[in-house]
Order: sequence, then C-alpha cells, then structure tokens
Amino acid sequence: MENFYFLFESAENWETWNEKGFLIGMLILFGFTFLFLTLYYIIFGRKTDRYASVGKWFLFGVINLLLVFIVTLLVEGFSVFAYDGFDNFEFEIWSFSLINMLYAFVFYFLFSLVFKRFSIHSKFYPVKF
Amino acid sequence: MSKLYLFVIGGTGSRVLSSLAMLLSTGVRANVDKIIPMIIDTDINNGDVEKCRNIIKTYDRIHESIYNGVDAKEDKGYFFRTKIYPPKELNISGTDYGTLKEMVDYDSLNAKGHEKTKSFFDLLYNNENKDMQLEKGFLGNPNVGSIVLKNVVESKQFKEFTQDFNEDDRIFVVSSIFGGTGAAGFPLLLNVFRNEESSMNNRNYINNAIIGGVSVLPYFQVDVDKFNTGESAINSSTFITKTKAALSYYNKNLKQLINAMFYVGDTKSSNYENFDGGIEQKNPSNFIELTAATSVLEFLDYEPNASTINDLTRSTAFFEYGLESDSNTISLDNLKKDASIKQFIRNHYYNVYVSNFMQAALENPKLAWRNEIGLPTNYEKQDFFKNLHKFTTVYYYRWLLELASDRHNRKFLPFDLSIILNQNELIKDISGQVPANVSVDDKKLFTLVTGLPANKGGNFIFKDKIKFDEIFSEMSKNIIKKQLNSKERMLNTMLNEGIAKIIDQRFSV
Repeated sequence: MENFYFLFESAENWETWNEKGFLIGMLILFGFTFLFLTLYYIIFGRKTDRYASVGKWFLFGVINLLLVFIVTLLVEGFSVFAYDGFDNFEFEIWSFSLINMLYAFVFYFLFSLVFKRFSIHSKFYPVKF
Repeated sequence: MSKLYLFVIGGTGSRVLSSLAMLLSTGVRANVDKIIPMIIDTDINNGDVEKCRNIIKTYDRIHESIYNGVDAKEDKGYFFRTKIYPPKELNISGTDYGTLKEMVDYDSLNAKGHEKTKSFFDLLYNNENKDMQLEKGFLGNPNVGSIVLKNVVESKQFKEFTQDFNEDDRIFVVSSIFGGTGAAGFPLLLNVFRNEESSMNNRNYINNAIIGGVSVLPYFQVDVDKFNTGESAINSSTFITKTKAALSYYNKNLKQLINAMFYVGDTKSSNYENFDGGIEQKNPSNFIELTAATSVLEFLDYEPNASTINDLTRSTAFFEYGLESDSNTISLDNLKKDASIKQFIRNHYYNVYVSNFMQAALENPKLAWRNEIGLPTNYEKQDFFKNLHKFTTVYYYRWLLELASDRHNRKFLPFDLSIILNQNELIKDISGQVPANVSVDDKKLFTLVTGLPANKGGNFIFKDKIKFDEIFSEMSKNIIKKQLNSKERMLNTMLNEGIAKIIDQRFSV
C-alpha cells in the first residue's frame, strides 16, 4: 500500500501508517468514490436525466473529493493517531488527506468509465464512447 | 394490398384532403394500405389545391423515410403510418378550354342541321354561362361543370386509375354539394364508375367496387357585396337552394349507385372572402372539412371484409355526423370519447416536441437516446428532421390556427394556441410557407389541451416536469433490440412509444 501512496512520506510514524493508516485511507477513498459513482450512475443515472451533464458529473466528483478529504482527515487524526484536537494534527495527516483527495478525483474519473455503462441517462458522461 | 382511390373535387375537396393528411399524420387507424388521391379541379392555380399538394408532399417524404420497405401490418397506429401518394391531378385545366362557348364550339352550331341542338343548348345555358371563363372552376354553376368534367375520363390520370384498379380496391368521392365543381363532378363520376357499357380498363372491377362519398353541405358563406358589385360570380345566398335541388337529384338518381353516403354540414356558417378561385382562394381549414375527412376513415371501416358490392349486407347506407354537445367552440370534450382523442393528444405533444425540443436534443452529443440510436452528428440538418420540422411548424400549427379562426362561427380549439407567438403573421401570410414560432415552457406543457390539464405531481422541493428525453432514453435500448431497418424508423418508434407512455401517464381520458 505504501507503493500506492508513493507520493506520501512520513518520517516518524511509518509503522502506524503501514499498519492501518494506508488501509483506512484507501477504504475511505474507494468507499466514498464507489458510493458516489453508484449514486451518480446507477441510482440517479437510471432514474432521471436531471444529473446528466458534465457539470453535474463534476459536481458529484468535487463533493466526493471533499468528503474523502474531510473523512480521511478526521478518521486518521482522531481514530488512527488519536489526537485530541485539530491543533495537534501533524502536517503528514493533512498531506495524506490531500493526497487521498487527489486520488479520489482521479479514481472518480477512471471508474466513471466503467460505471457509466450501467447508467441510462448519464451513459455518455464525462466522455462519449 | 388494398387501395383507396380518393377523388377530391373542387376547393372543398382539396381542403378535406389536407385535413385527412393531418388526421393520418396522427397515426389514426385507416383500414387500407394506400390512399391514392385524385384531385379534380379546373382551377389548377387554386390556393387550396396548392396548399394540399405541399402538405401531402411533405407527408409523403416523411412516410417514405420511415416506412419504405416496411410491411403494412407493422407499426400500426404510428405517426404518418398510412401511405398517401402525391395527388394525381386529372388534367382538365380550364385555361385550355377558355369559355364554355369555345369548349363546345358553339359557333359551329350555326351550321345547317344543328338548329335543334343549338336551341337545346341555349335552353340549358344562359349567355353568362356560355361566356364564363372556365379557368377558375364553374363558380357555382354545376350545369356548366357537368359538361366540362366529362373530359376527366379522357385524361391520362383517369386511364392510369382504371388500369391499376384491383378487385379489393375502393373508391371514395369528396365533393361539396353547393358549389360548381364538386356538385357537378360527383354524379358524373358515379355514373362513369357504374356504367356497365363503358370501355374503360377493369370495368368489371370498377362497376362492382364499393364506392362511398361525402357530400359537404353548406358550411360557409361569402361576402355578398362582391357578388352585387360584379367583382365575384359566387353568390352564397343560393347555396341552400342549390343544395336542395342537388339532394333531390341525388335521391332520385344516385342512391342506387353508391354504397355508403356521408353528409356533413353546419348551420353555423363560416364567413369567407369572396374570390373566384385562383391563388387567392385559400379558405381557412374548417372543422366540417375535418369531419368530412373522418368519413373517409369511417368508410374504410364500413364492412371492412367486403371487397365488392355483392359482399355487402345492404346496398346503400347513409351517415351523418353529430357532436356530443353543441358548442360554438369545440374542444376534445365535445367529441366522441374513443381512442382517437388520445391519438390527437399524442400527436399534439409529438408536434410540440418536434417544434420546441427535438433540435436541441439532436444537437446534444451526449444525450443518451441520441447516442443509443446512433444518430450521426448534424442529424438535425438532414432531410428527415427538416421535413418533420416543416410539417409541424409550417402546416400543423397553421392548420390548428385556421380551425380556430375568427371567421368560423363554430371554432375547433382542441389545444391552447397561445403557444404560437406569430399568429398574426401566419394569418396574413398568403404563401403558406411562414413557419409558426412556438414557445412552450415546462409549465405550459401541463395545459396544452383545452379543458384537460395533464396530471401533475411534484412537491415543495422537486417540481414535476414532463421530460420527453428522459422517457426516450429509458426506452432507447429496447428500440435497438427491435433491430429496425433504419435510423428514421428507430427514431419514429421511440417518439411514438415514448409519447404514448407520457400521455398514458398524464391523461386519464
């Protein structure tokens, strides 16, 4: 998993990251991304064309990445590293959350190419093929 | 493959044919494979005839794009389903004849030995009749028409009709009873069809064919001042007298020649400008013409399994048309509650989609149904969509507008016409080629049918909308599975099924 998060570096807490930090981060990343893709393409995308536009697709992606960032930050900070306040958060938790957020959008885009096949109204978003 | 030969005579005949094309564009069921219109009018420049030609030409282009090579049993009830051939015009141009005098070579009757013929001719025709120019029809003089129209049977088109006539084919004649061309042409045609001594092709089939006709009784009057000042030869104050005389003649001489006879008319007359035919004669479409058009469909359902008069259970049947309730403004509520009401509503929503939403849909490269069907880019610029759009904006809305014209004392107003923004421009346009400018918003889609709002759901957060493209996209995959032979047919099937679904959901008629 450290290879997956190759952009991330930690000087002091590598063991904790390796033991559960990366795993939880990845679960949050894929959990939320799949949730949003399911919502966008399968739940809404089969029911209504209200969300069938690049703008709406992008909006779902942005909400996804923001949630991934916030949840990663909260879970890693308060649960994995058991800090008792935002003031005590290490810089690496912020940077890990930012990287997870970046990944969230990348995977949102990549998995969109798969999920869109299961949609009716949003089948040709974000790209038509 | 049965055919209907539809003889339409005079200006009224052409207007009935236009209404029939509009009716058939709704997909209303016609119990026949093909309709072959035969226009009989000496006034070849008549504005109503020209309008009729244009409507059917566009109708036929749309029909051919969708149903070319498709079995007649498939896609029943779909828009533009019944094949209407471009009208055959029986070549009896009045300009070729000049006056009645010239036509019969009156001067030659001065020769020795023709005195009795000349006297007899003078007895039947006064000087006005004899000097009447025939290029604009018979101007309410059926006695003149009965001589001139004899030439119809000599025309190339009539010979083609006799050659192509088959045993199962039927004949229907549309004419007015109170004018000149129609009143003269109808009895003449019946006598020709039933003449057992005729030398025409397929005489036996034609003699024994099931023949129907609609006679349009007076339903409009024209400006009398123009008749009084001599500007026009048409005098509508004689319409009733002429009608009585003609009905008496029909009763004595025609009822044994015809199998189904329809009468339509209205005491609440419309008021038209008085023109002696020509390009200026473009009377607005009238509800009576629409009822006359429905008689064609009724005739096709008249003992549908009978193919000759011998198969019929009775020799002659007579029909009239009545409204469920009398009203000066007729809406769908005044008509018989049958499947055609829903068909009308479907057709109207289809036209609204074509005129207001379809172009944007076709221009949207990521719209689901457009991509599923695989429509090429720039499809909105191709002929099929152009023809659909033209039929809707140039002909359909104008037809609705004319039916609700202030000239009618009984208007037909089935749909809200406030969506047509350039009504005045359309009314003034003589060319008939100005497209309607239609504006429909999401709210208006619920109130398009007069007196019958669409069912509406929604709540405080989400407003209910009629979403054509959403429904079309949902069904587009099933359309693909049907493996239809062309994009146009796929598109048409989707529009038909999608709009039917919307109307079934929204209207409990």
